[in-house]
Amino acid sequence: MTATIEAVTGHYVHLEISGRSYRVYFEQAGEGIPLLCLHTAGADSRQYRAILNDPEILSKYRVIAFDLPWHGRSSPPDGWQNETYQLTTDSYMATILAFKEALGLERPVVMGCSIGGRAVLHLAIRHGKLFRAAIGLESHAGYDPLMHPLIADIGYLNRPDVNGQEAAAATVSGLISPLSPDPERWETLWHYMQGGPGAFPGDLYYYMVDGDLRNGLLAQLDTKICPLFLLTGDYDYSATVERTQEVMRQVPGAQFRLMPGLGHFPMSENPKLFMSYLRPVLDEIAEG
Amino acid sequence: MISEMVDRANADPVVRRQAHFVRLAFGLEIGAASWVIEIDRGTVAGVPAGDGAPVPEFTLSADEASWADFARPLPPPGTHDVLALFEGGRLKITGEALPLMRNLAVVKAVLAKLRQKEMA
Repeated sequence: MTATIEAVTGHYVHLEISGRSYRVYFEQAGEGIPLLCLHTAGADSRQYRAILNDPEILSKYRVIAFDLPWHGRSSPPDGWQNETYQLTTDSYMATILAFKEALGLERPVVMGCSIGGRAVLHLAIRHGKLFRAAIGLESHAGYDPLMHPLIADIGYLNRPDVNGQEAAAATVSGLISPLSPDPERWETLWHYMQGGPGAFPGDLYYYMVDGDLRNGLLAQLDTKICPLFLLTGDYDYSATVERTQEVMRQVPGAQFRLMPGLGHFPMSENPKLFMSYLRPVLDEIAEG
Repeated sequence: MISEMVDRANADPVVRRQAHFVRLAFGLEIGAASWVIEIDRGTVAGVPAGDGAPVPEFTLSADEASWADFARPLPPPGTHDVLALFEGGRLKITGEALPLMRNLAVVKAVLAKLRQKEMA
């Protein structure tokens, strides 16, 4: 077997976010239009491994994916042991903008999945002029998950009498399409099994509570300033097709792509199939 | 249906490994039929609910059509997972939720054996 080294490079950047210092890890590859990728709750930038290795995309785009603080190889801030991590709309936006500024990204395309799919909506609403386009994967405005009391009240994802790693993976395993290949399915779940204690439920605070966009703010999203593309898999029972289409109804000009056969983690659970849906969108943005 | 599920679970070394440290009894309601599934240190058993059956810590209930969809080799979206059925309002969880969430991986692994053929 011949050994191969990927073209992906990893770096750490030191950021000041809301007065605190963070050491943030990111990976990048390719040249061209910056494509800033946001991972799902409780996971990290490895979810974008396939895109970071796709020659066709890398010929047009500089793909950049970072680990949120508390995730992957990005450390929590000093003093983390004395606090409970909770991702809020404001802290999420501040982190993304600080990272974008630190790398000097000029009007990048921003693409995010799940919480990242919500974040691109918030970014387009609050800071649309700063982005060339927004791509929401498994995006929706919010709903009232029946799971929320189990997570918030019973706290099973982060308590000493439950294996949080196993519980996190078991929680999301059914969000993956049954059609997704085993190696990619289990790598996606491995990422969840490696999350730090409290990181996943801390992110879900944004997904299920603070980042709820059923508040009329979507009407402020102007797709003439920041074009919006929404791609959703039909096996996602959280960000369902119907919930994504509810965003469509509130955002004139947004474009929707159904992704049959995919679940909640399209870029990592079945990259080959996902890329067949993503490439035309990226081509359209590049030509625009 | 249940006996086949139990046989398949016990024949799968991965399920047996997952269940090695588990002692759990949970209810499974398929329409009007009620079962108790017992997992005891690597071995799975299923008995009709009622006198002499272990007391379940929680029970998963859905109608026959929902479980039939779940058991298809390629279940339709929304029926392919216990939590998908739950979020879609087709499955109820009664009893103590914590033992379910604590053992969610192995419970899912056992219930996946309702399918004659594993999903991809």
